Amino acid sequence: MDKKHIEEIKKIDIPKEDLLASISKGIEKGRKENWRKRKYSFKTLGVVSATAASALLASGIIFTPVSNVLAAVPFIGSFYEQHNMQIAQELEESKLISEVNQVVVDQGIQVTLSSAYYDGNVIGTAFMVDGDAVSVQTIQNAGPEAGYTMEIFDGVEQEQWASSSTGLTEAENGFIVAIEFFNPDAALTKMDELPVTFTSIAGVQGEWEFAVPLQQISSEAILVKGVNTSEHDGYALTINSLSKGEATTLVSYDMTLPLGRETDEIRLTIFDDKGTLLGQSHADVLQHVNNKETIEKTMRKLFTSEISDTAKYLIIQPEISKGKSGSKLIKMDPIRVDLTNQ
Amino acid sequence: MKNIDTVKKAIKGNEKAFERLVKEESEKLYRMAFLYVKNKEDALDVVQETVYKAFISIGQLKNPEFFSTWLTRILIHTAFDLLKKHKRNHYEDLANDIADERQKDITDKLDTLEAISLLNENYRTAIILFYYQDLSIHTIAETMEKPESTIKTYLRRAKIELKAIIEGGESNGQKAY
Repeated sequence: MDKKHIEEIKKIDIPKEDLLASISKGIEKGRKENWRKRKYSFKTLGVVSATAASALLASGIIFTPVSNVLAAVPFIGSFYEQHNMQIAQELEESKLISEVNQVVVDQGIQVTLSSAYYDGNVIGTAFMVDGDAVSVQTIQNAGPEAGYTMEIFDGVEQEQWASSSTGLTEAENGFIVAIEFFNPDAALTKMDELPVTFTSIAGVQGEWEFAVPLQQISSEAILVKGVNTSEHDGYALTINSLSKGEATTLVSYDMTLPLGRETDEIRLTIFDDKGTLLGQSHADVLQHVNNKETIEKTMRKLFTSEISDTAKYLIIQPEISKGKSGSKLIKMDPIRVDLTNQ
Repeated sequence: MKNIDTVKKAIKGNEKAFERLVKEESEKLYRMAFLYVKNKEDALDVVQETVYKAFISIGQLKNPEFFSTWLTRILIHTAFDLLKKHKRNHYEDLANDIADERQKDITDKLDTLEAISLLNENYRTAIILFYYQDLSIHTIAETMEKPESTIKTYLRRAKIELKAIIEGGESNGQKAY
């Protein structure tokens, strides 16, 4: 034997698209595993709405900077990385995270709103917490697991959004928590501020109230020209629109399932012509109708990556997931969305 | 290593950096997986599982400069796991095929790749890394976590076995060790 075998290995054909799809699936599986590991608090109320998603989405809303806390920037950046907060990481790279310095002191605990962002339907906030009563021990003993309780919109129940939190985490100068809020409304209305109130921290009851100022930038709507439907054996997917945000992509689509197959779903994987995968977050059901033979769902799914400015087209690969375990995936025909001539 | 900064970003949890690195290595990973499992579907499964394992454990990678070695090691373990999991008795299937073919004319049918798949795990990996991935003995030793002297022994013995298999050294089609 000799090194001529290196030439032999080059003869193995590379199924490029399949290979990219395998990489995407591997990353997606890993991402789900990591999300499971994250401290996670999720509360969803009032998600269903009869209105179809608007093509004009509140995307890239930026908080008006009150003052810069430059020293905190690299620290927050690494915090986002450590906690796998994709939207925050991308916005930070684009310099679209505003540093804010709103300080509220109550019951001897100082809470500082240090940075924030708003892209698509996601508002992200980071708070620094410091006080004698706040320690790893008191956080663990007090509960809930996140180490605090809070509400938005002054606690009006119908207006509470789903949220994801890192939980209070020990840092160099106190504690830090990053929280993302997901707007559940189909038509995203213009907002000037988000009222956030902490009601307890490390077991200490109090009131730390913040009015987070917002500045809205509209996102770019992408039209789907040509074939926008994929069908397979009673299942159908129709892509209605895409919205290109600064760090996210929102996809609005209709899903048809055969009657009696409520637990089935159609999963979407999206990648561009260079094989770059869009990271996935979650899907909201905006409308759910049972017909004689079918179930129709109007959906909106958030992807935690922006569409590259140099991408020529996107491939949306739908897969039918049958049964609760979702282990059996059936590939449907992919839908191509051209990004040139938009 | 030119992309050491990208590896550092990936270790810190930057998914884009990870994706970029894996894509750079993707063709190498696929070809290597193919050498083990010898069919497209299983090779793609091995790549997918390798990417998944790497994604969830990259935070534990201590030395960024060993990213490629580390990824290759995961792929090798994953390939062997898949072969075992599927209970695809590669050796026996191939041995049976070879036994059948040998009665006709083995030299016409048996190629080097098939012969390699008859070797034991260590010999096979050493041969693949040395002859097909063009890695140095030093890098193979790091990848397999064995001393360099052991790798040299693996290669020497593997070549003897391959020669025996290809030249019909066995009459019953069983493994040469």
